[in-house]
Amino acid sequence: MSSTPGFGDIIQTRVDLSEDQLTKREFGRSPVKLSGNPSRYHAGDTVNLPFGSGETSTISAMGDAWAATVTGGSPE
Amino acid sequence: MAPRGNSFGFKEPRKSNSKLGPFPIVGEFGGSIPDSLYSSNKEASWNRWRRGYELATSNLSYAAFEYPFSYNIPLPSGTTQSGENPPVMAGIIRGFPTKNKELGMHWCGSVLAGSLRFDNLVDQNDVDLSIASVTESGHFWRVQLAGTWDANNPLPPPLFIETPGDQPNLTPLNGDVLEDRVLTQADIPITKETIDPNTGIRYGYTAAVLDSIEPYNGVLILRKQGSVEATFDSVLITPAQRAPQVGRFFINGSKYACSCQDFTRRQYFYVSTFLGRRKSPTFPLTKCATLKPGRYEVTTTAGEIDERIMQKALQDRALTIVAPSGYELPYNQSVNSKDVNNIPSNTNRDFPGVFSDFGNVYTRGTDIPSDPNAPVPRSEGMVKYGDYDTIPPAAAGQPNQLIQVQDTWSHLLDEYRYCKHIYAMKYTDDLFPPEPSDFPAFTTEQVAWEQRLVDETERDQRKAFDNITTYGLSYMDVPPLNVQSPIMISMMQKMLNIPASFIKIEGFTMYDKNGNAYVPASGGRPSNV
Repeated sequence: MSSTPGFGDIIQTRVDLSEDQLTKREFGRSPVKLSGNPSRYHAGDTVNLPFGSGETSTISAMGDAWAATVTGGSPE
Repeated sequence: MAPRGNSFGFKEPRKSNSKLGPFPIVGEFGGSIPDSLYSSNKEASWNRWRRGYELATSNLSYAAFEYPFSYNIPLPSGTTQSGENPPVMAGIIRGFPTKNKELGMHWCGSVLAGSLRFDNLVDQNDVDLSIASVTESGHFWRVQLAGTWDANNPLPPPLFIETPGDQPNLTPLNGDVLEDRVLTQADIPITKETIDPNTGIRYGYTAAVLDSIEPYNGVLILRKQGSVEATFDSVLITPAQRAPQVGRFFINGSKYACSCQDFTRRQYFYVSTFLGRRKSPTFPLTKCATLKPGRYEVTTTAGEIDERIMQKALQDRALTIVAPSGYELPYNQSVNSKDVNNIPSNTNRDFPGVFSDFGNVYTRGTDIPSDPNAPVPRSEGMVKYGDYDTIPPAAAGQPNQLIQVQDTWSHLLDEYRYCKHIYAMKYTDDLFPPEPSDFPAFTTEQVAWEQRLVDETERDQRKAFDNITTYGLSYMDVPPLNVQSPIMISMMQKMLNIPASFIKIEGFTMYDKNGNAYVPASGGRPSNV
């Protein structure tokens, strides 16, 4: 790994599309022009979400959502 | 609807001469031996596994139907976000064009590993929930988390949510895959290639399903069966040969869900039947023999039932799960006393054609940690079914008495009841899923069956793509604007693992084919050049 991944970056991916795969992609019969990474996330990836201490993290937000539901709470 | 059993291409037993007999029993529950074999074939996970591989290899050119997203979980009213990073969950929804689905495609989704991290959870004294110790217990690992735990200070949400009254407590993460891949708080998760600079060898990690918890002791119970280990040689092996490492933090593993009728156990309704273009029952049918008291979902807008597929794009709908007595999910919401959900006829039996028995993983050779004396099926010999309970006969010569029938969802890593679309996603993601052991009892030659499968899959994919280009996909038909349609919202809840009322379209940030972010709720559109 040449540089430190940022928040939300993929740190391990299962999918590396080859040049051949990219050039052969078609939508119907219209060639699709592609540039860069064709999509950000693929299934099977691992992401880096390093929340700091005290931050509202994904897992704590999920817990808050469930905890609110059992007492009749709803999102803002 | 096609006769049951045909949909997976297994040869039906020869029809007997109607005049001569013999007349086979065709009911599935307690049916004849040919019928039971037939059900066994149809239900086989191996079948999904093999068909998923075929779908994956014939589907590569359709990778354009990928919708990567990050979902910002809304906070409950009255709470505010602290810190600058939003609580996002990363994932992808992928469309599978399907010939048998006249107006669209199946949507299969995945939440990525690393979205949930245990280094963001603390106990009552703000101690991070690292792994304090691990003990071996038969088929399970008992993982003691760091912290101080007692009856007043159980594991924090979402691991455990205590509910008021006599409602069952919630354990939303039970059944998810956990991986010990974070070494220190806020660290970058290790991969199977990450090398320890102090020793020069790879760290390695273990992935296993969270089977259950002991909330008041701060203990997680992980299942050894189906666990996966990334070894020092960067090889994935199953089952794992070593326990999760003390001092590390867990992250979630990939989680999958699909909108297809196989995964959701919901039947199709064909619009073209209603229009007179298709000769089949207007409404789906389920044999009485396979009817089962089941749950169903109702989507509502402002308290009114709203089952429209198309809605205003940004109109949020609510999901209510209706469960008959004895089959309640711990997640059903309170319902208005006057609405449809409290009519006894709606809550105490199934809707014909809507729900049939599926989704059980028939567990083999595992113990139940909370009740070691409970009767469990074993892998030796024939498969037995683990979703009922009996008491011994009152006297010799009498049969066991069935005292309880229930859903036994036992989430096993790579033995979770996936549909072929999920298997296809795993194949294309280079995760070659282990071959399920419930190999079908073919009534035809396997080679011929597979060759026919290859041909059919290719032909069906071509036809499906023709359908897509004929009918077209509107902007409303694709994620995230379709995620609150009746068929999608329950699948999205299963995938994101948050209450349906917290799944709002405005929370989705999508990424187009160039990797650029756009927010549909704010009028954002993907690049079309």
